[in-house]
Amino acid sequence: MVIGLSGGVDSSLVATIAVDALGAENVVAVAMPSRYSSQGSLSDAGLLAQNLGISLMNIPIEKVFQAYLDLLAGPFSGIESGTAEENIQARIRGNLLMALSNKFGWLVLATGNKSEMATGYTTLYGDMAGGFSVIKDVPKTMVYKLARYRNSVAGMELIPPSVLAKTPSAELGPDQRDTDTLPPYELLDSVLTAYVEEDKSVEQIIRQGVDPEVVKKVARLVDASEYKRRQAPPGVKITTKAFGRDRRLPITNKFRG
Amino acid sequence: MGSVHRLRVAMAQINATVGDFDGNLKKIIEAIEQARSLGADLVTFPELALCGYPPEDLILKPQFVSDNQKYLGRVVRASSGLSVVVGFIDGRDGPYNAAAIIHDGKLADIYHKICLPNYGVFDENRYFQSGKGCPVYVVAGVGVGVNICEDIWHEDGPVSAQASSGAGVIVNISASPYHYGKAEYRKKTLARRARDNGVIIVYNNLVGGQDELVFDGNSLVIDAKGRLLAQGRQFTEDLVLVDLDVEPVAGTGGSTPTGGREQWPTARVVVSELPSPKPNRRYPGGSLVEAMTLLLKSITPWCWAPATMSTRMVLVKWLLVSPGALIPAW
Repeated sequence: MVIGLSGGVDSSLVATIAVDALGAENVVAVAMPSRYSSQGSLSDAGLLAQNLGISLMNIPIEKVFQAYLDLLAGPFSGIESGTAEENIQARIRGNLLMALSNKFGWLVLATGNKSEMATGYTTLYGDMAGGFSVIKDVPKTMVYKLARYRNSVAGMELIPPSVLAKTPSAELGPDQRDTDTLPPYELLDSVLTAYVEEDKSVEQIIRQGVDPEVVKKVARLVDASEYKRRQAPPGVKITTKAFGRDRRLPITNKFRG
Repeated sequence: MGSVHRLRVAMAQINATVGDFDGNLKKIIEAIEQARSLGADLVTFPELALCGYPPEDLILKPQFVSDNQKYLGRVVRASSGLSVVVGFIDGRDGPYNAAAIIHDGKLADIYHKICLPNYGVFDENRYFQSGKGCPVYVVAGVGVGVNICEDIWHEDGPVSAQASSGAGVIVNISASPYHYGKAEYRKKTLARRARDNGVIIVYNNLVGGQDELVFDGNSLVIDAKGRLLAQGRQFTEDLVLVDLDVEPVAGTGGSTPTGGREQWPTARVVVSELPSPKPNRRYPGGSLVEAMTLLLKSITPWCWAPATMSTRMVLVKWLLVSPGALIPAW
Protein backbone atom coordinates (compact mmCIF):
# COMPACT_ATOMS: atom_id res chain seq x y z
CA MET A 1 0.00 0.00 0.00
CA VAL A 2 1.23 3.48 -0.74
CA ILE A 3 -0.26 6.65 0.68
CA GLY A 4 0.52 10.29 0.02
CA LEU A 5 1.01 11.69 3.52
CA SER A 6 0.34 15.43 3.69
CA GLY A 7 0.36 15.88 7.44
CA GLY A 8 -3.40 16.48 7.35
CA VAL A 9 -5.99 14.50 9.26
CA ASP A 10 -7.39 12.55 6.28
CA SER A 11 -4.15 10.97 5.10
CA SER A 12 -3.07 10.46 8.73
CA LEU A 13 -6.23 8.46 9.46
CA VAL A 14 -5.95 6.44 6.23
CA ALA A 15 -2.32 5.58 6.97
CA THR A 16 -3.29 4.49 10.48
CA ILE A 17 -6.12 2.28 9.20
CA ALA A 18 -3.79 0.77 6.56
CA VAL A 19 -1.23 -0.10 9.22
CA ASP A 20 -3.95 -1.61 11.44
CA ALA A 21 -5.18 -3.71 8.52
CA LEU A 22 -1.93 -4.84 6.94
CA GLY A 23 0.91 -4.15 9.32
CA ALA A 24 3.54 -1.42 9.15
CA GLU A 25 5.76 -3.49 6.86
CA ASN A 26 3.11 -3.35 4.11
CA VAL A 27 2.51 0.40 4.13
CA VAL A 28 4.70 3.06 2.55
CA ALA A 29 4.06 6.76 2.99
CA VAL A 30 5.22 9.45 0.61
CA ALA A 31 5.58 13.13 1.46
CA MET A 32 5.47 15.31 -1.65
CA PRO A 33 5.88 18.86 -0.43
CA SER A 34 5.40 21.87 -2.67
CA ARG A 35 6.19 25.55 -2.08
CA TYR A 36 2.86 25.84 -0.25
CA SER A 37 3.39 22.97 2.18
CA SER A 38 3.83 24.23 5.72
CA GLN A 39 6.75 23.16 7.89
CA GLY A 40 4.22 21.97 10.45
CA SER A 41 2.60 19.61 7.96
CA LEU A 42 5.94 18.11 6.97
CA SER A 43 6.99 17.51 10.55
CA ASP A 44 3.54 16.08 11.36
CA ALA A 45 3.85 13.62 8.47
CA GLY A 46 7.30 12.60 9.75
CA LEU A 47 6.06 12.18 13.30
CA LEU A 48 3.06 10.09 12.22
CA ALA A 49 5.25 7.81 10.07
CA GLN A 50 7.55 7.38 13.05
CA ASN A 51 4.63 6.60 15.40
CA LEU A 52 3.25 4.04 12.95
CA GLY A 53 6.66 2.54 12.19
CA ILE A 54 6.24 2.99 8.44
CA SER A 55 8.85 4.22 5.99
CA LEU A 56 8.38 7.71 4.63
CA MET A 57 9.75 8.72 1.24
CA ASN A 58 10.29 12.38 0.63
CA ILE A 59 9.79 13.48 -2.98
CA PRO A 60 9.58 17.28 -3.23
CA ILE A 61 7.57 18.34 -6.29
CA GLU A 62 8.90 21.87 -6.66
CA LYS A 63 11.04 21.20 -9.75
CA VAL A 64 8.25 19.39 -11.59
CA PHE A 65 5.70 22.01 -10.56
CA GLN A 66 7.95 24.78 -11.87
CA ALA A 67 8.45 22.86 -15.11
CA TYR A 68 4.65 22.70 -15.55
CA LEU A 69 4.30 26.42 -14.86
CA ASP A 70 7.05 27.18 -17.38
CA LEU A 71 5.46 24.90 -19.96
CA LEU A 72 2.07 26.55 -19.51
CA ALA A 73 3.43 30.09 -19.19
CA GLY A 74 2.45 30.83 -22.80
CA PRO A 75 -1.15 29.62 -22.78
CA PHE A 76 -1.71 30.89 -19.20
CA SER A 77 -0.10 34.31 -19.73
CA GLY A 78 -2.11 37.23 -18.46
CA ILE A 79 -4.49 35.01 -16.48
CA GLU A 80 -4.39 35.11 -12.71
CA SER A 81 -3.08 32.02 -10.97
CA GLY A 82 -5.88 29.86 -9.53
CA THR A 83 -7.44 26.42 -9.45
CA ALA A 84 -5.50 25.18 -12.49
CA GLU A 85 -2.15 25.85 -10.82
CA GLU A 86 -3.41 24.40 -7.53
CA ASN A 87 -4.59 21.20 -9.17
CA ILE A 88 -1.34 20.72 -11.08
CA GLN A 89 0.30 20.04 -7.72
CA ALA A 90 -2.32 17.46 -6.77
CA ARG A 91 -1.94 15.80 -10.19
CA ILE A 92 1.86 15.66 -9.93
CA ARG A 93 1.39 13.84 -6.63
CA GLY A 94 -1.20 11.46 -8.10
CA ASN A 95 1.19 10.78 -10.95
CA LEU A 96 4.10 10.03 -8.62
CA LEU A 97 2.00 7.69 -6.49
CA MET A 98 0.88 5.81 -9.61
CA ALA A 99 4.52 5.55 -10.75
CA LEU A 100 5.43 3.96 -7.42
CA SER A 101 2.39 1.71 -7.74
CA ASN A 102 3.50 0.48 -11.17
CA LYS A 103 7.11 0.03 -10.19
CA PHE A 104 6.59 -1.81 -6.92
CA GLY A 105 3.10 -3.28 -7.26
CA TRP A 106 1.72 -1.16 -4.43
CA LEU A 107 -1.95 -0.23 -4.25
CA VAL A 108 -2.49 3.53 -4.03
CA LEU A 109 -4.90 4.48 -1.26
CA ALA A 110 -6.82 7.66 -2.01
CA THR A 111 -7.42 9.75 1.10
CA GLY A 112 -10.47 11.91 0.27
CA ASN A 113 -13.35 12.09 2.75
CA LYS A 114 -17.10 12.20 2.10
CA SER A 115 -17.42 15.96 2.59
CA GLU A 116 -14.86 16.46 -0.18
CA MET A 117 -16.38 13.83 -2.45
CA ALA A 118 -19.77 15.44 -1.95
CA THR A 119 -18.72 18.97 -2.81
CA GLY A 120 -16.09 18.09 -5.40
CA TYR A 121 -13.40 19.68 -3.22
CA THR A 122 -10.94 17.17 -4.59
CA THR A 123 -8.81 16.92 -7.72
CA LEU A 124 -9.75 14.51 -10.46
CA TYR A 125 -6.60 12.52 -11.45
CA GLY A 126 -4.91 14.16 -8.48
CA ASP A 127 -5.78 13.24 -4.91
CA MET A 128 -8.65 11.21 -6.39
CA ALA A 129 -6.14 8.88 -8.08
CA GLY A 130 -5.86 5.47 -6.51
CA GLY A 131 -7.12 1.93 -6.33
CA PHE A 132 -9.13 2.22 -3.17
CA SER A 133 -10.61 5.16 -1.31
CA VAL A 134 -10.76 4.14 2.33
CA ILE A 135 -12.66 7.04 3.91
CA LYS A 136 -14.70 8.26 0.94
CA ASP A 137 -17.92 7.64 2.90
CA VAL A 138 -16.68 9.23 6.12
CA PRO A 139 -17.68 12.89 6.59
CA LYS A 140 -14.90 15.21 7.73
CA THR A 141 -16.38 15.69 11.20
CA MET A 142 -16.41 11.92 11.61
CA VAL A 143 -12.80 11.74 10.37
CA TYR A 144 -11.80 13.82 13.41
CA LYS A 145 -13.87 11.62 15.73
CA LEU A 146 -12.27 8.47 14.33
CA ALA A 147 -8.78 9.92 14.63
CA ARG A 148 -9.43 10.80 18.28
CA TYR A 149 -10.98 7.39 18.86
CA ARG A 150 -7.92 5.67 17.39
CA ASN A 151 -5.64 7.70 19.62
CA SER A 152 -7.72 6.79 22.66
CA VAL A 153 -7.48 3.08 21.76
CA ALA A 154 -3.72 3.44 21.35
CA GLY A 155 -3.48 5.18 24.71
CA MET A 156 -1.09 7.63 23.08
CA GLU A 157 -1.04 10.43 20.55
CA LEU A 158 -0.52 8.14 17.59
CA ILE A 159 -1.90 10.81 15.27
CA PRO A 160 -0.11 13.95 16.48
CA PRO A 161 -2.34 16.46 18.31
CA SER A 162 -1.18 19.22 15.96
CA VAL A 163 -2.78 17.28 13.06
CA LEU A 164 -6.10 17.39 14.91
CA ALA A 165 -5.72 20.99 16.01
CA LYS A 166 -4.66 22.69 12.78
CA THR A 167 -7.07 24.54 10.51
CA PRO A 168 -7.95 22.28 7.54
CA SER A 169 -6.10 23.34 4.39
CA ALA A 170 -5.36 21.74 1.02
CA GLU A 171 -2.07 23.69 1.01
CA LEU A 172 -2.23 24.17 -2.74
CA GLY A 173 -2.04 27.96 -2.62
CA PRO A 174 -0.62 30.65 -0.32
CA ASP A 175 -2.35 30.77 3.12
CA GLN A 176 -5.16 28.63 1.77
CA ARG A 177 -7.92 27.29 4.02
CA ASP A 178 -10.76 24.89 3.24
CA THR A 179 -13.18 27.53 4.52
CA ASP A 180 -12.10 29.85 1.67
CA THR A 181 -14.19 27.56 -0.54
CA LEU A 182 -16.45 25.60 1.77
CA PRO A 183 -18.62 26.37 4.79
CA PRO A 184 -17.12 25.25 8.13
CA TYR A 185 -17.24 21.41 8.27
CA GLU A 186 -19.74 21.20 11.17
CA LEU A 187 -22.20 23.20 9.10
CA LEU A 188 -21.28 21.56 5.80
CA ASP A 189 -21.71 18.04 7.14
CA SER A 190 -25.11 18.82 8.61
CA VAL A 191 -26.29 20.17 5.24
CA LEU A 192 -24.77 17.18 3.42
CA THR A 193 -26.50 14.72 5.73
CA ALA A 194 -29.83 16.37 4.97
CA TYR A 195 -29.25 16.79 1.23
CA VAL A 196 -27.41 13.57 0.38
CA GLU A 197 -28.37 10.99 2.99
CA GLU A 198 -31.91 12.15 3.72
CA ASP A 199 -32.76 13.44 0.21
CA LYS A 200 -34.20 16.64 1.68
CA SER A 201 -34.91 19.56 -0.65
CA VAL A 202 -33.05 22.85 -0.55
CA GLU A 203 -36.23 24.48 0.78
CA GLN A 204 -36.61 21.93 3.57
CA ILE A 205 -33.04 22.45 4.70
CA ILE A 206 -33.46 26.22 4.67
CA ARG A 207 -36.58 25.80 6.81
CA GLN A 208 -34.41 23.94 9.34
CA GLY A 209 -32.73 27.28 9.93
CA VAL A 210 -29.61 27.02 7.75
CA ASP A 211 -28.43 30.11 5.83
CA PRO A 212 -30.16 29.91 2.42
CA GLU A 213 -26.99 30.91 0.57
CA VAL A 214 -25.04 28.09 2.24
CA VAL A 215 -27.67 25.50 1.39
CA LYS A 216 -27.94 26.60 -2.24
CA LYS A 217 -24.18 26.66 -2.66
CA VAL A 218 -23.69 23.22 -1.11
CA ALA A 219 -26.51 21.71 -3.18
CA ARG A 220 -25.01 23.19 -6.35
CA LEU A 221 -21.57 21.83 -5.49
CA VAL A 222 -22.98 18.36 -4.80
CA ASP A 223 -24.95 18.24 -8.06
CA ALA A 224 -22.10 19.60 -10.18
CA SER A 225 -19.64 17.04 -8.80
CA GLU A 226 -21.53 13.97 -9.94
CA TYR A 227 -19.19 13.57 -12.94
CA LYS A 228 -16.21 13.50 -10.62
CA ARG A 229 -17.66 10.95 -8.27
CA ARG A 230 -18.38 8.58 -11.16
CA GLN A 231 -14.63 8.46 -11.74
CA ALA A 232 -13.64 7.93 -8.12
CA PRO A 233 -12.07 4.73 -6.79
CA PRO A 234 -14.33 2.44 -4.76
CA GLY A 235 -14.41 2.73 -0.98
CA VAL A 236 -16.18 1.33 2.08
CA LYS A 237 -19.84 2.06 2.72
CA ILE A 238 -20.05 3.52 6.22
CA THR A 239 -23.14 5.72 6.31
CA THR A 240 -26.75 4.91 5.51
CA LYS A 241 -26.23 6.31 2.01
CA ALA A 242 -22.84 6.10 0.33
CA PHE A 243 -22.03 7.61 -3.05
CA GLY A 244 -22.09 4.94 -5.74
CA ARG A 245 -24.53 2.02 -5.74
CA ASP A 246 -26.40 3.55 -2.84
CA ARG A 247 -27.07 6.90 -4.52
CA ARG A 248 -27.46 6.89 -8.27
CA LEU A 249 -27.98 10.35 -9.68
CA PRO A 250 -27.70 11.52 -13.25
CA ILE A 251 -24.68 13.55 -14.34
CA THR A 252 -26.85 15.43 -16.83
CA ASN A 253 -29.29 17.04 -14.46
CA LYS A 254 -31.12 20.36 -14.56
CA PHE A 255 -33.20 19.70 -11.45
CA ARG A 256 -32.55 22.27 -8.73
CA GLY A 257 -34.39 21.51 -5.55
CA MET B 1 -47.02 -29.07 26.77
CA GLY B 2 -45.40 -32.07 25.10
CA SER B 3 -41.86 -33.23 25.60
CA VAL B 4 -39.46 -30.53 24.55
CA HIS B 5 -36.98 -31.34 21.81
CA ARG B 6 -33.49 -30.01 21.97
CA LEU B 7 -32.17 -28.76 18.65
CA ARG B 8 -28.45 -28.11 18.56
CA VAL B 9 -27.68 -25.48 15.92
CA ALA B 10 -24.28 -24.38 14.65
CA MET B 11 -24.27 -21.03 12.84
CA ALA B 12 -21.27 -20.79 10.53
CA GLN B 13 -20.50 -17.12 10.03
CA ILE B 14 -18.06 -17.52 7.16
CA ASN B 15 -16.17 -15.10 4.93
CA ALA B 16 -17.28 -16.34 1.51
CA THR B 17 -15.62 -14.77 -1.52
CA VAL B 18 -17.53 -14.05 -4.74
CA GLY B 19 -16.66 -16.63 -7.39
CA ASP B 20 -14.31 -18.66 -5.19
CA PHE B 21 -16.23 -21.92 -5.33
CA ASP B 22 -13.27 -24.00 -4.16
CA GLY B 23 -12.47 -21.69 -1.25
CA ASN B 24 -16.09 -21.34 -0.19
CA LEU B 25 -16.71 -25.08 -0.43
CA LYS B 26 -13.65 -25.70 1.73
CA LYS B 27 -14.94 -23.35 4.43
CA ILE B 28 -18.41 -24.90 4.23
CA ILE B 29 -17.15 -28.47 4.51
CA GLU B 30 -14.80 -27.60 7.36
CA ALA B 31 -17.66 -25.99 9.27
CA ILE B 32 -19.92 -28.99 8.61
CA GLU B 33 -17.24 -31.30 9.98
CA GLN B 34 -16.74 -29.12 13.01
CA ALA B 35 -20.49 -28.88 13.62
CA ARG B 36 -20.78 -32.65 13.33
CA SER B 37 -18.02 -33.19 15.87
CA LEU B 38 -19.87 -30.83 18.22
CA GLY B 39 -23.05 -32.89 17.87
CA ALA B 40 -25.06 -30.29 15.97
CA ASP B 41 -28.38 -31.34 14.44
CA LEU B 42 -28.29 -28.41 12.03
CA VAL B 43 -25.53 -26.25 10.63
CA THR B 44 -26.40 -23.03 8.80
CA PHE B 45 -24.50 -20.76 6.41
CA PRO B 46 -25.04 -17.23 5.08
CA GLU B 47 -27.01 -16.19 2.01
CA LEU B 48 -25.34 -17.29 -1.26
CA ALA B 49 -22.48 -18.70 0.81
CA LEU B 50 -21.52 -21.05 -1.99
CA CYS B 51 -20.94 -18.38 -4.65
CA GLY B 52 -20.39 -15.27 -2.48
CA TYR B 53 -22.57 -12.17 -2.20
CA PRO B 54 -23.35 -10.07 -4.19
CA PRO B 55 -22.30 -11.85 -7.39
CA GLU B 56 -23.95 -9.11 -9.49
CA ASP B 57 -23.85 -9.78 -13.25
CA LEU B 58 -21.92 -13.01 -12.78
CA ILE B 59 -25.43 -14.39 -12.31
CA LEU B 60 -26.05 -13.64 -15.99
CA LYS B 61 -23.27 -16.07 -16.93
CA PRO B 62 -24.80 -19.56 -17.29
CA GLN B 63 -21.44 -21.14 -16.43
CA PHE B 64 -21.34 -19.34 -13.08
CA VAL B 65 -24.77 -20.62 -12.13
CA SER B 66 -24.08 -24.18 -13.28
CA ASP B 67 -20.74 -24.27 -11.44
CA ASN B 68 -22.50 -23.14 -8.28
CA GLN B 69 -25.00 -25.99 -8.63
CA LYS B 70 -22.22 -28.47 -9.22
CA TYR B 71 -20.55 -27.38 -5.97
CA LEU B 72 -23.85 -27.71 -4.13
CA GLY B 73 -23.66 -31.41 -4.97
CA ARG B 74 -20.37 -31.58 -3.09
CA VAL B 75 -21.94 -29.97 -0.03
CA VAL B 76 -24.74 -32.54 -0.17
CA ARG B 77 -22.20 -35.36 -0.26
CA ALA B 78 -20.39 -33.92 2.78
CA SER B 79 -23.54 -33.75 4.93
CA SER B 80 -23.73 -37.21 6.45
CA GLY B 81 -25.31 -37.36 9.87
CA LEU B 82 -26.74 -33.83 10.11
CA SER B 83 -28.85 -31.18 8.41
CA VAL B 84 -27.40 -28.22 6.50
CA VAL B 85 -28.93 -24.96 5.28
CA VAL B 86 -26.71 -23.24 2.73
CA GLY B 87 -27.28 -20.35 0.33
CA PHE B 88 -26.80 -20.86 -3.43
CA ILE B 89 -28.27 -19.81 -6.78
CA ASP B 90 -30.99 -22.10 -8.03
CA GLY B 91 -30.80 -21.70 -11.80
CA ARG B 92 -33.70 -23.96 -12.67
CA ASP B 93 -36.61 -21.86 -14.00
CA GLY B 94 -35.11 -18.94 -12.13
CA PRO B 95 -32.63 -17.96 -11.22
CA TYR B 96 -33.64 -17.86 -7.58
CA ASN B 97 -31.74 -16.67 -4.54
CA ALA B 98 -32.05 -19.99 -2.76
CA ALA B 99 -31.35 -21.99 0.37
CA ALA B 100 -30.68 -25.71 0.05
CA ILE B 101 -32.05 -27.78 2.90
CA ILE B 102 -29.86 -30.85 3.05
CA HIS B 103 -29.94 -33.86 5.35
CA ASP B 104 -27.60 -36.80 5.65
CA GLY B 105 -26.34 -36.90 2.10
CA LYS B 106 -29.62 -35.90 0.45
CA LEU B 107 -31.04 -32.63 -0.83
CA ALA B 108 -34.33 -32.46 1.08
CA ASP B 109 -35.73 -29.26 -0.41
CA ILE B 110 -34.93 -25.84 -1.83
CA TYR B 111 -36.35 -22.59 -0.48
CA HIS B 112 -36.58 -19.59 -2.80
CA LYS B 113 -36.21 -16.07 -1.37
CA ILE B 114 -39.55 -14.30 -1.57
CA CYS B 115 -38.80 -10.67 -0.70
CA LEU B 116 -36.14 -9.38 -3.09
CA PRO B 117 -34.51 -6.12 -1.96
CA ASN B 118 -34.19 -3.55 -4.71
CA TYR B 119 -33.24 -0.43 -2.78
CA GLY B 120 -29.98 1.11 -1.57
CA VAL B 121 -27.11 -1.10 -2.65
CA PHE B 122 -29.44 -3.98 -3.61
CA ASP B 123 -30.51 -4.94 -7.11
CA GLU B 124 -32.07 -8.33 -6.67
CA ASN B 125 -35.01 -7.80 -9.04
CA ARG B 126 -32.42 -7.44 -11.77
CA TYR B 127 -31.35 -11.04 -11.24
CA PHE B 128 -33.80 -13.18 -9.37
CA GLN B 129 -37.31 -14.51 -9.55
CA SER B 130 -39.33 -14.30 -6.37
CA GLY B 131 -40.13 -17.49 -4.45
CA LYS B 132 -43.70 -18.69 -4.21
CA GLY B 133 -43.82 -20.83 -1.09
CA CYS B 134 -42.45 -20.99 2.41
CA PRO B 135 -42.57 -24.49 3.83
CA VAL B 136 -41.96 -25.51 7.39
CA TYR B 137 -39.21 -28.09 7.65
CA VAL B 138 -39.25 -30.73 10.32
CA VAL B 139 -35.67 -31.00 11.53
CA ALA B 140 -35.00 -33.42 14.38
CA GLY B 141 -38.69 -33.24 15.21
CA VAL B 142 -38.74 -29.44 15.38
CA GLY B 143 -40.58 -27.10 12.98
CA VAL B 144 -38.03 -24.89 11.24
CA GLY B 145 -38.92 -22.09 8.84
CA VAL B 146 -36.05 -21.24 6.52
CA ASN B 147 -35.97 -17.87 4.82
CA ILE B 148 -33.43 -15.48 3.35
CA CYS B 149 -32.25 -12.01 4.43
CA GLU B 150 -34.91 -9.49 3.28
CA ASP B 151 -37.67 -12.04 3.99
CA ILE B 152 -37.31 -11.39 7.71
CA TRP B 153 -37.55 -7.60 7.57
CA HIS B 154 -41.20 -7.65 6.51
CA GLU B 155 -43.75 -7.86 9.28
CA ASP B 156 -46.23 -9.83 7.19
CA GLY B 157 -43.52 -11.74 5.37
CA PRO B 158 -42.59 -15.41 5.40
CA VAL B 159 -41.86 -15.44 9.15
CA SER B 160 -45.48 -14.95 10.14
CA ALA B 161 -46.63 -17.51 7.56
CA GLN B 162 -44.11 -20.05 8.80
CA ALA B 163 -44.79 -19.33 12.48
CA SER B 164 -48.53 -19.73 12.04
CA SER B 165 -47.89 -23.04 10.27
CA GLY B 166 -45.97 -24.64 13.09
CA ALA B 167 -42.42 -23.29 12.90
CA GLY B 168 -40.89 -22.85 16.35
CA VAL B 169 -37.54 -21.81 14.92
CA ILE B 170 -36.83 -19.43 12.04
CA VAL B 171 -33.48 -19.83 10.31
CA ASN B 172 -32.70 -16.70 8.33
CA ILE B 173 -29.59 -16.83 6.20
CA SER B 174 -28.40 -13.36 5.43
CA ALA B 175 -25.89 -11.08 3.72
CA SER B 176 -26.56 -7.80 5.47
CA PRO B 177 -23.99 -5.09 4.85
CA TYR B 178 -22.62 -2.82 7.52
CA HIS B 179 -23.46 0.78 8.00
CA TYR B 180 -23.02 2.94 11.04
CA GLY B 181 -25.62 1.88 13.65
CA LYS B 182 -26.92 -1.12 11.70
CA ALA B 183 -26.10 -3.79 14.29
CA GLU B 184 -28.39 -2.23 16.89
CA TYR B 185 -31.15 -1.79 14.34
CA ARG B 186 -30.98 -5.47 13.41
CA LYS B 187 -31.04 -6.60 17.01
CA LYS B 188 -34.07 -4.47 17.80
CA THR B 189 -36.04 -5.44 14.71
CA LEU B 190 -35.31 -9.15 15.03
CA ALA B 191 -36.22 -9.16 18.72
CA ARG B 192 -39.59 -7.66 17.81
CA ARG B 193 -40.07 -10.19 15.00
CA ALA B 194 -39.29 -13.07 17.39
CA ARG B 195 -41.66 -11.75 20.07
CA ASP B 196 -44.50 -10.97 17.67
CA ASN B 197 -44.40 -14.45 16.17
CA GLY B 198 -43.37 -16.44 19.25
CA VAL B 199 -40.42 -18.00 17.43
CA ILE B 200 -36.72 -18.43 18.06
CA ILE B 201 -34.72 -16.64 15.37
CA VAL B 202 -31.40 -17.97 14.15
CA TYR B 203 -29.99 -15.13 12.05
CA ASN B 204 -26.83 -16.18 10.21
CA ASN B 205 -25.07 -13.20 8.64
CA LEU B 206 -22.15 -13.15 6.24
CA VAL B 207 -18.80 -11.68 7.20
CA GLY B 208 -16.11 -10.11 5.05
CA GLY B 209 -15.51 -7.32 2.55
CA GLN B 210 -16.79 -7.27 -1.02
CA ASP B 211 -15.97 -4.25 -3.17
CA GLU B 212 -17.62 -1.35 -1.36
CA LEU B 213 -19.56 -3.42 1.15
CA VAL B 214 -18.53 -4.82 4.49
CA PHE B 215 -20.55 -7.68 5.93
CA ASP B 216 -20.06 -7.34 9.65
CA GLY B 217 -21.09 -10.74 10.95
CA ASN B 218 -22.90 -10.12 14.23
CA SER B 219 -25.05 -13.20 13.65
CA LEU B 220 -27.79 -13.49 16.25
CA VAL B 221 -29.85 -16.07 18.07
CA ILE B 222 -32.92 -14.57 19.71
CA ASP B 223 -35.45 -16.45 21.81
CA ALA B 224 -39.22 -16.30 21.44
CA LYS B 225 -39.41 -13.55 24.04
CA GLY B 226 -36.98 -11.38 22.09
CA ARG B 227 -33.98 -12.02 24.34
CA LEU B 228 -30.52 -12.35 22.87
CA LEU B 229 -29.19 -15.88 23.33
CA ALA B 230 -26.01 -15.76 21.32
CA GLN B 231 -24.14 -13.45 19.02
CA GLY B 232 -21.44 -14.04 16.43
CA ARG B 233 -18.34 -11.92 16.50
CA GLN B 234 -18.13 -8.64 14.63
CA PHE B 235 -15.95 -8.41 11.51
CA THR B 236 -14.49 -11.89 11.84
CA GLU B 237 -15.46 -15.48 11.12
CA ASP B 238 -17.17 -17.43 13.84
CA LEU B 239 -19.01 -20.64 14.58
CA VAL B 240 -21.79 -20.09 17.08
CA LEU B 241 -23.22 -23.17 18.77
CA VAL B 242 -26.55 -23.07 20.62
CA ASP B 243 -28.96 -25.58 22.03
CA LEU B 244 -32.58 -24.64 21.48
CA ASP B 245 -35.32 -26.28 23.51
CA VAL B 246 -38.38 -26.29 21.30
CA GLU B 247 -41.73 -28.00 21.48
CA PRO B 248 -42.10 -30.62 18.76
CA VAL B 249 -43.93 -29.51 15.69
CA ALA B 250 -47.64 -30.15 16.01
CA GLY B 251 -50.29 -31.17 13.47
CA THR B 252 -49.71 -32.21 9.92
CA GLY B 253 -49.02 -28.77 8.52
CA GLY B 254 -49.74 -27.65 5.03
CA SER B 255 -52.71 -25.65 6.23
CA THR B 256 -53.74 -22.43 4.59
CA PRO B 257 -52.19 -19.74 6.71
CA THR B 258 -54.52 -17.43 8.56
CA GLY B 259 -54.14 -13.79 9.45
CA GLY B 260 -51.73 -11.24 8.03
CA ARG B 261 -51.25 -10.74 4.32
CA GLU B 262 -49.25 -13.89 3.76
CA GLN B 263 -50.32 -15.78 0.69
CA TRP B 264 -47.64 -18.38 0.27
CA PRO B 265 -48.32 -22.08 0.66
CA THR B 266 -46.63 -23.46 3.74
CA ALA B 267 -46.28 -27.16 3.06
CA ARG B 268 -44.75 -29.36 5.76
CA VAL B 269 -41.53 -31.04 4.62
CA VAL B 270 -39.99 -33.68 6.82
CA VAL B 271 -36.21 -33.37 6.76
CA SER B 272 -35.38 -35.52 9.79
CA GLU B 273 -37.70 -36.84 12.46
CA LEU B 274 -35.69 -37.85 15.47
CA PRO B 275 -33.26 -35.72 17.34
CA SER B 276 -29.79 -37.08 16.71
CA PRO B 277 -28.02 -38.40 19.79
CA LYS B 278 -25.78 -35.77 21.35
CA PRO B 279 -22.44 -36.55 22.94
CA ASN B 280 -22.54 -36.09 26.66
CA ARG B 281 -19.84 -33.48 27.03
CA ARG B 282 -19.25 -29.88 27.93
CA TYR B 283 -18.02 -27.17 25.59
CA PRO B 284 -16.12 -24.02 26.37
CA GLY B 285 -18.39 -20.95 26.89
CA GLY B 286 -19.12 -12.41 21.78
CA SER B 287 -16.80 0.05 14.94
CA LEU B 288 -16.00 1.84 11.95
CA VAL B 289 -12.26 1.44 11.85
CA GLU B 290 -12.76 -2.32 12.00
CA ALA B 291 -15.11 -2.23 9.02
CA MET B 292 -12.65 -0.33 6.91
CA THR B 293 -9.80 -2.53 8.07
CA LEU B 294 -11.74 -5.62 7.07
CA LEU B 295 -12.42 -4.33 3.58
CA LEU B 296 -8.81 -3.35 3.14
CA LYS B 297 -7.84 -6.88 4.09
CA SER B 298 -10.32 -8.34 1.66
CA ILE B 299 -8.88 -6.53 -1.33
CA THR B 300 -5.29 -7.36 -0.51
CA PRO B 301 -5.11 -11.11 -0.30
CA TRP B 302 -1.40 -10.99 -1.03
CA CYS B 303 -0.88 -9.23 2.27
CA TRP B 304 -3.23 -11.26 4.38
CA ALA B 305 -3.52 -14.93 5.14
CA PRO B 306 -7.18 -15.74 5.85
CA ALA B 307 -7.93 -17.25 9.22
CA THR B 308 -7.53 -20.99 9.05
CA MET B 309 -10.12 -23.36 10.37
CA SER B 310 -7.90 -24.22 13.30
CA THR B 311 -7.88 -20.53 14.22
CA ARG B 312 -11.60 -20.45 13.99
CA MET B 313 -11.84 -23.45 16.29
CA VAL B 314 -10.71 -21.07 18.98
CA LEU B 315 -13.67 -18.86 18.17
CA VAL B 316 -16.25 -21.54 18.87
CA LYS B 317 -18.41 -20.20 21.58
CA TRP B 318 -20.52 -21.68 24.20
CA LEU B 319 -22.64 -18.88 25.51
CA LEU B 320 -24.24 -19.53 28.85
CA VAL B 321 -26.95 -17.01 29.36
CA SER B 322 -29.23 -16.04 32.21
CA PRO B 323 -31.22 -18.78 33.97
CA GLY B 324 -34.47 -19.55 32.25
CA ALA B 325 -33.05 -18.98 28.81
CA LEU B 326 -33.07 -21.79 26.32
CA ILE B 327 -29.44 -22.74 26.62
CA PRO B 328 -29.15 -25.24 29.43
CA ALA B 329 -26.39 -25.06 32.00
CA TRP B 330 -24.93 -28.56 31.68
